[in-house]
Amino acid sequence: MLIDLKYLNSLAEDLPIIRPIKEFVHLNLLLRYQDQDYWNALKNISRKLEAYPFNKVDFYLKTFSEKPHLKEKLKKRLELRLKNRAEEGMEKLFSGSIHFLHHDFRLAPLHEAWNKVLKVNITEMTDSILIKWLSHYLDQGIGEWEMPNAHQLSFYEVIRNLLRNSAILPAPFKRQRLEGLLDLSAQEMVNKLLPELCPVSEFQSEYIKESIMTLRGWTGLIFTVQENPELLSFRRSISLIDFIAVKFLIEYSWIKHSNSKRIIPDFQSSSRTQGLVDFDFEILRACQEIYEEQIFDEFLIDLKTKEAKKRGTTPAYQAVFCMDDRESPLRAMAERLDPDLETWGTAGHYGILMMYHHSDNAFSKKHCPAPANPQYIIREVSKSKLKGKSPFEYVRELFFPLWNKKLSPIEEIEVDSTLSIFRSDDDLTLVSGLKPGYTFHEAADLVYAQLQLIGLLNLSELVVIVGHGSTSANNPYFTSYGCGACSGRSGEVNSRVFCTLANHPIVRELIQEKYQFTISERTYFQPAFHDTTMDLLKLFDTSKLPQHLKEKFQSFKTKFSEAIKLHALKRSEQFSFKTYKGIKETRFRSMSFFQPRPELGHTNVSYSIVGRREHFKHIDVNRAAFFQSYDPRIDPDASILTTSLSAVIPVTSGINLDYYFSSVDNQRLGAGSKLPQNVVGHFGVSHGTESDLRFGLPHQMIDQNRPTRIFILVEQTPELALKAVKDHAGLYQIISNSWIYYAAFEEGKEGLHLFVDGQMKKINQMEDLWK
Amino acid sequence: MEISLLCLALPLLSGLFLALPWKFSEKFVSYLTLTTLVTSLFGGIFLFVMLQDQGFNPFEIALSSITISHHSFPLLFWVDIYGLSYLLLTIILGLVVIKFSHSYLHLEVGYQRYFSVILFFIFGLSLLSIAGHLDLFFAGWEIVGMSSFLLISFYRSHIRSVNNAWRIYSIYRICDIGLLSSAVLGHVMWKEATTFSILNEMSAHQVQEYHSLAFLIFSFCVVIASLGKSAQFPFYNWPAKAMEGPTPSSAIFYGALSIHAGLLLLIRTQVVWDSSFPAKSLVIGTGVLTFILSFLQKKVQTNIKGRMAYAITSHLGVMYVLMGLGFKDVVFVYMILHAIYRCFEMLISPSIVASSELSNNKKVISKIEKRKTFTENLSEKWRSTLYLFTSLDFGMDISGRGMNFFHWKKMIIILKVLVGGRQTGFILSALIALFAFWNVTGSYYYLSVFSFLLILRSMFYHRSSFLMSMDIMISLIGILISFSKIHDHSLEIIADYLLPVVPAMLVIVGVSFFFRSKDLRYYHGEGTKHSLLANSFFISFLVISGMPISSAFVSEDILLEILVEHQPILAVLTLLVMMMIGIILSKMYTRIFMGRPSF
Repeated sequence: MLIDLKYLNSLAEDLPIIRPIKEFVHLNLLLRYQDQDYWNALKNISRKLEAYPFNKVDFYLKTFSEKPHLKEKLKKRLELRLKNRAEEGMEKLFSGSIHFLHHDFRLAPLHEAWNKVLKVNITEMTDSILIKWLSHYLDQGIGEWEMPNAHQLSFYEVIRNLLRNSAILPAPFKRQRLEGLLDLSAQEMVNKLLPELCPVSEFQSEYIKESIMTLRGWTGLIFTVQENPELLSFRRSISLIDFIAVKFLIEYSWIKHSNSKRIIPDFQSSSRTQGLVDFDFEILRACQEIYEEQIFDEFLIDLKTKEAKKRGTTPAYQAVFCMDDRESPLRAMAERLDPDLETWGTAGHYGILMMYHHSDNAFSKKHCPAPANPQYIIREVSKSKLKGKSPFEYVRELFFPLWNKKLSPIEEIEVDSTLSIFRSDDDLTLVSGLKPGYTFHEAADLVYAQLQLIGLLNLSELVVIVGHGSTSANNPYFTSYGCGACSGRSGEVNSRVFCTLANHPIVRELIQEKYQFTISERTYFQPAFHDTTMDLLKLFDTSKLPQHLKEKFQSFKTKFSEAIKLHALKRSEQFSFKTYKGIKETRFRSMSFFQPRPELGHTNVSYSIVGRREHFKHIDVNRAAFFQSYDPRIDPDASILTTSLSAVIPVTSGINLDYYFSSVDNQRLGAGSKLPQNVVGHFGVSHGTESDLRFGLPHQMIDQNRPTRIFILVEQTPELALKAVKDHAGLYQIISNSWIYYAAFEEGKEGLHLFVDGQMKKINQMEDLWK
Repeated sequence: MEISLLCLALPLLSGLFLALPWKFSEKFVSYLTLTTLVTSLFGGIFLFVMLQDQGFNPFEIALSSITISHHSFPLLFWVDIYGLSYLLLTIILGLVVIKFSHSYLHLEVGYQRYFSVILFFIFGLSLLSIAGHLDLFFAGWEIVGMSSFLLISFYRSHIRSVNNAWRIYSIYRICDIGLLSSAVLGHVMWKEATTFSILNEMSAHQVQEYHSLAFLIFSFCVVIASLGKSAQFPFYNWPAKAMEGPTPSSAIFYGALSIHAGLLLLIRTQVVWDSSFPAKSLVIGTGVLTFILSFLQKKVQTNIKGRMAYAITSHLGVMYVLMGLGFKDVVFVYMILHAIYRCFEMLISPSIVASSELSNNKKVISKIEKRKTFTENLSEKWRSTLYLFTSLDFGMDISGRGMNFFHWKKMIIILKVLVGGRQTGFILSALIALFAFWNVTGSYYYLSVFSFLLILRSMFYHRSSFLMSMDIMISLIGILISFSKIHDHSLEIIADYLLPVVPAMLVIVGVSFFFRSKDLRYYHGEGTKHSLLANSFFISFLVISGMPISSAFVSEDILLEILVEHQPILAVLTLLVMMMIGIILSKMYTRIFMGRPSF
């Protein structure tokens, strides 16, 4: 059979999605399965990736023993699914005899055939060289020498040149054996060597598949880079065919090297286990459904029993946060402490799709959601030089991270750098293909669109725009704690840019002109930044604050610092290992090199709410939820809702499913333990020095997570809610394949409308779904 | 004085306590380790004060000695500025790492195991740094090697970690022969253990007067022993493979302490090897080679721990050169500072991703430019050659090819002819043993050679675990029989040796019989299911391979000593057999009990 790139790409559909670690954004690792029904996809995961897709059986048994009424529900559900075998299913579950038959990681029976006859571990010997070369080629700055020509040629060509040009060849390679081979292209090489490595034609496609799947961390990354080369700062052109060609070349050399007798192994078709058998799968599915429904039921009861309070007047000040779930308890606390405050939520990039370049950095960085294409480049020139740390400071930070550090919840910072944000209308120059700033017209459109999106059309005099990010000391996964809407970086610059745009008088004039919307002269947008790990609010350039707001600002600050202290106290209690209490603990965790869990991240996030704040304010503050502000009253045709959801659904479901899959099978769909991990080439982590790349989240990030799918609740009539997603193929696919729960909620009406089989079905509790 | 020694022995007690099968709370475990180490620190400081009292003149502390069949094993300690500084460094860095690990390993499976092994390690190093003679030094050395093995394979289900642990243990084991034989040679030369006080008082001139061949061998053995631990050529590739345990353990072992232990041995025995030119040139030569090779290899490493590993070995290479040139004090200071720096660097290594985000523009850009234009003056041809060889570890990679350094297949065929298949092996061995009993001249030699071949076969030829354990047993018996005729006290010594070894051997045979169907080419991970079997197998493995946990350690020493005196060739064979038994047993242990992904 002939192998080409198309065939390899079709194989790559089963690979998990792996992105370079600095571009880390929570994504559903199994995004490529999203065109299948959720349960079907889980079944496929258990079979194709040999991963276990549910909570552990013990976990369900524990839940059912704590809440006996769920057992009844489970029985009913099993009767629905398994008909007359329901009884048997219950017995199988409670006798603990559901087992997941998984392979070892040596799951390459065809490669194993070679090892068996040659009595040496060809697979390991090949991988060891291959992994070295791959990491050398893709390296983003750890190595001191770049692989010769790596910045010009593709991976295969680089290796070919090395072997061709080298004066002598080391161990498995031999000049006469490579004669003629090195003139071939990658694809020809694969097709030439495949019959040598696997002479039985019926197993050839399986052989290729094994080659790709055994190193799925690397192949996953290669496939990502092949599709999006811009993800690496040093561009590399590598594709799966390069990978296979080089792998075959090494494998072939090793086999020839150790096969003096020219033995050909006896290839046998592999008798792979089938993952979860259907019967077990249905039982576990029912358990997971019951478990999820029970959690959502609690939420619905909360929603029903407590009445919302309405606000008549415009509040004294407003704060716009990222919709991130880590912000929601803080917001709730601040609002409770300070009745003058109203908070809003939106995606933390504030509509600014930009690359950001700081004069201290060699590369510009993406500060907008991962799927979006940035159109602008915003440059910042710092006046003061970035100082490196002295070794003494490092030692001090290692042992006394809080030495000489203030523990104030709020810091005011005067920025001593200049951002180039605006460009003139006729400026057509491009900087690295991007527009170097906004024109006033573009700025006006952007600011108005943002305000409209969240329904913030009744502006107070002081509006604080809060970006968020995270600081952690000894953490290769630091981008996964950052702002998801800013590609895992901090939202600080986005908030500063947005405020500069919105505060500009010409922009306001243009908004008035274009949209007949007045932003009063007395209104001021104050940029701010919340560090979710440290629990610190930074306020920028407070000296520019207009005189008439000084008093309000003061009261905002005092109340808000109380809220932060309280929030830190609450948060510090959730950690299972703590040294201090409250804000001291959160600061310590973020600065300490000893801490593999700087914060809990998005642990346990299972709701995402799109609607007006006042309806959800009363919900328990500990219940973290994504919160996107949205006003259904100004959106009669649900077009704003569609815009909103097109950001909310991919981001929140991505985060949620990333946590889900990493939790259920941390070895195969997650990154295992963080402790032995080693940073490879600034693009990935691996266990030790020469092994497969790890993907997903480490066990230290998910050990308090309870895996459920996310529940997205929008405030809108069921008809419009359905219309909003039906128009958008991508969103509709996620919803209709049940990767998320999607429900609509209306002011003053009882019950919810939950999406089932293409319709919005009215329910009072989750159980109604199955009636 | 005894009290301070007791303080230093405390890590052993706490380590043993934590190794008990009960599970303690994390808090208890970490506080126990902390208090233990703080106590040890006081012990160390007390010794230091004493040393200061003496005006920094080294002194000896002698405790009662262990006597086994007319041979005594003195518990003798030697306190000097080198050893004591190393001891204090060990305890202080140990404290840092324990403090780090306390929160870093929170909720990790194997928390208690980790701390217990770290304590053993610290005990081993303390013993090594104040040991009064070479045998005691060897005991500490072995404990360090074993704890290293246990921490590399900390993630027991990760096949590559376990495999690397076994490989590195094998390297240790091979080099340990050097130390063991030098200890034994010392016995022969001085008629007692090689005490460091003797070495200290000896002048270079006196050395010349001694039996020169024995001295030459002694020097070579010492140097070879140090090469393995301190990762010098040809073993300089292993530190990169050893970075498999949790980061703090890698920091203290391969960043800081264990890797410098070889140098400490060289410092201790400098007076001997310094006087023989070949040994000195071996030290300088390996240093130079290691420096060049690992310096080049460091340049192409693209993962942070691998890069540090080669940076460390290249520095060690420099230290070896300096050592060979005789700058003992310079090397010592260098070594201490290097250990501190590397330990710290390794601990914060995961932060490289974040710190590179914040690093200075100009530095980064100039670094990038440098990267592209490396070795600009070289032609394409030589540049490719250089890169290819450095990226492939100069063809000296230990992973993958495992122990197949040479073409073993031919060897196996020869072995098959010599030793025979399954049954013929038994019959032949029985016959030769009978001959030996009848005192047929020269049959000890046959018997020992046969034992050697038998064990060699097990080492390189995949067999079932039961057959391997039988091989071990038969060759041990063979060695003992041939030994029995050599000396008047032979039988007593054998009886002493067998006292711990027989039960251990029975356990090994029993357990391997239980798992006889397991193919030892694969990892089976039975340890999670059969933890009792795994632990008893492990302890038996320690006893048989001569770890300092039973009297077998001392009897083995005595046995070898007598052999060296009377039958040097038999002694060499016995040494090799002992070494290979350790490697085979560790292989059996890892393959049967470790390495299947747990779920």
